[in-house]
Amino acid sequence: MSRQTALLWGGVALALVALSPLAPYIVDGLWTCPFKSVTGVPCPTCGTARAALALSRGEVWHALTQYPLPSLAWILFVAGGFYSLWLGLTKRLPISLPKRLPVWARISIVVAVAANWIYSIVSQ
Amino acid sequence: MNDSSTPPPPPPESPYRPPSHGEGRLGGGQPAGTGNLLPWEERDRLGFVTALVETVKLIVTNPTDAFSRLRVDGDMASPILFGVILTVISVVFNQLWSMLFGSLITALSGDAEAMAFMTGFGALQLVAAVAFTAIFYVVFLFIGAGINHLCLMLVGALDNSQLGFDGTLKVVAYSSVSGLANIIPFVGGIIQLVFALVLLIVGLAAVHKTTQGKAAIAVLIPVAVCCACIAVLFAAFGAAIMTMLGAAMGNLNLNSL
Repeated sequence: MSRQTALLWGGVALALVALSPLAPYIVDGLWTCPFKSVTGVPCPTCGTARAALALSRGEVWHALTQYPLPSLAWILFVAGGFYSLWLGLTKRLPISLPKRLPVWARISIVVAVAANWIYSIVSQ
Repeated sequence: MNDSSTPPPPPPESPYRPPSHGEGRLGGGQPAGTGNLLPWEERDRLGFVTALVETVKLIVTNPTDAFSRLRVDGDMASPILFGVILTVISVVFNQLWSMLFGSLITALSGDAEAMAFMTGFGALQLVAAVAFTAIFYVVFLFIGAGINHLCLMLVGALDNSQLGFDGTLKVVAYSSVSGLANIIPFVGGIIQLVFALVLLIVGLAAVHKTTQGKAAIAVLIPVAVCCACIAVLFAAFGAAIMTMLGAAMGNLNLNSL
């Protein structure tokens, strides 16, 4: 990842924090999940917008307990952005992303998405 | 005891080859500025409008060639600016169609006050949509590129990649050409989604030197997992801005509608 991209990530993280007061209006304008509308069952990533809304209101514990994986993803994305911004501004080496994830990481991601999906179905 | 007449063995070749400022075309030895770049990345020489139009034409007619011309260096400003311009054009047409058909409906109802409101509201929506588009575009561009890149890592499509995440970000940015499909009313959104997927698959395969099969799997994983919610999210942020404006304008009485 280049220094420009690291600074861009940081800028995006800052923008998300700055725009968080607008989150309720943005979430209201989004379409209902078509999968849930048809089947009555939430899709694997349902709750991503609601997690962002809860986090924008500072309800971190509520977000993590109700929408664990999406909330964690948002938190890591914003935290990673601020870290990249710091790296970019201090002219340190930008983050080097691996070209290929190890097998344990791939399995972990699939298991995490599946577990989150089951959790959202059970807790709806 | 070493024989001093025997030359020492050459050092092992480093697997890392940093990008050279003299290189322009991805994976090739062509120096920058020789015309083997995207026209948009030579807009200083070609002119702003000509470069924009020629790049759009190239991406639409020959995406494989277009994406293989991406620069190896870390210039992110050009693709993002390109994406912002194309997305603004897309949003403008989206809003114009909404204004046009919304006004037609209220005109048929014969309510002059409602029609005046719709016209004013539509124009305000247009201005706000353009203003917010650049900010929201960059945010969603980064998130979308991040998701696509994670999926590329999952399927092992980056083994031969030189550009890494920067390449994915550039492909997603230049794939904003698909937004021009919104020029077509009613079905433009659907065409945009399909065209965007095609451009992403072709572009990611060309940039990361992988097969189109792996690129297709990486692009379609988020679509399948998110049941097109992500695609709808990207397409619907314009609608979200309209809702936001409606809430901000307060309680206007539209009982006659």
